Amino acid sequence: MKLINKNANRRSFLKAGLFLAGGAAATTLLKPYNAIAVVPEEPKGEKPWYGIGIDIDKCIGCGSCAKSCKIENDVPMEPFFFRSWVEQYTILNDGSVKVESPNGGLDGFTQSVPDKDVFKSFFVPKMCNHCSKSPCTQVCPVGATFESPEGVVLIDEKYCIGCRYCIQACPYGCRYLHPKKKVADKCTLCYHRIKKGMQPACFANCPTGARIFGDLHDKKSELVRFLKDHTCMVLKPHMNTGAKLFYNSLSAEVR
Amino acid sequence: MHLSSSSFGKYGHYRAFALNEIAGKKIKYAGEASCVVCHKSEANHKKKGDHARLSCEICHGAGSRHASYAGNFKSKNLPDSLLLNKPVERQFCARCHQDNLARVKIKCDTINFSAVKLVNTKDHNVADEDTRLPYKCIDCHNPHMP
Repeated sequence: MKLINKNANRRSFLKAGLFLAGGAAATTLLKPYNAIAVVPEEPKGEKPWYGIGIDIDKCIGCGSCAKSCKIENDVPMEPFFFRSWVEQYTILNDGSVKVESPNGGLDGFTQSVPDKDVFKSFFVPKMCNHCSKSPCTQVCPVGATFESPEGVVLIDEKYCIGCRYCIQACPYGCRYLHPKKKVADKCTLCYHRIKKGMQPACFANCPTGARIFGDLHDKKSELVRFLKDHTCMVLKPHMNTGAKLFYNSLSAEVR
Repeated sequence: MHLSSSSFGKYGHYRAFALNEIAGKKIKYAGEASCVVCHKSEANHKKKGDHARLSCEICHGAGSRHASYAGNFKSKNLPDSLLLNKPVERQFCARCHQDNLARVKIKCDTINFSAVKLVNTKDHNVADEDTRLPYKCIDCHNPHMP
């Protein structure tokens, strides 16, 4: 009897195991092109739902985006307050990675490593990812930061108590405490511009068209086309932030 | 008496009025369309050159105040506070055109392809050979039609 029981247990264990494996395989087959954790869940409705595309292949690191952002949004000019900045990644022949961002790229870049030591080098413009499952809005104790119906993560300056919790929570380091207003501050995707039908300042001032702004709902928009034509990736996909900033040609070294 | 705003919770866990307050901010970058209204000849020049796709404000800076008040003045009589900058230094052109491996997008043994023309601004025609006077980039290259 004992022997039969043992076999039955083994059989049911294998059965359950196969069900689980089959279930997992089926879920991946349902969405064959989507890594489940990476793609943000799209809200229903007619309203626009904005996203961002950045083509690292086209970025020449001129810093126009960082500069125009500071001017457009009255961001303090000191070198440690940024809503949008550029980093130069240099991977050396010995495998080490050097990341530079002198003054956020505001004054341009100079190559600091001689050509012969460089394995590859590229610029990565950074800004708020406008996550659909953003950690920063979830931690706000007073409801001062929120996601607008258009999918833009904003801060209500009048409600913010300056507790800095959101600055800690953002995995991309996109928030800072405004030195004068003493409230958290971040990229608004130039909400005042996009509401008037204009492009955000950093997009309008990119000389090479490396930045693409668009509506993820509109399947004919430039951004959706960009996502179709390129192999895009978000930063830190394992954190499941639902980031809506998609990079083309993103190297694994970028953090 | 309510401590929270009346609009709190209208769309979500936040003050709905905040949306309009943020959207009401003034813009600083007016866009090329408003430059072209007056600066027609420059715009026509630019259309033909390699800088055709660049917005004017990338080099000249934010121009929304300039654009909205310039009409009140006779040309060339603008107060200094309304003037936009005309960058002339080598350093400014170097922001895009200085040699940098990260700007070279396809690298082979024989050719380097990049989206922009690259040059080492530190030794490319730095000064006149006879007079030793320093050259600016714009002495030879027309920035609107380089």
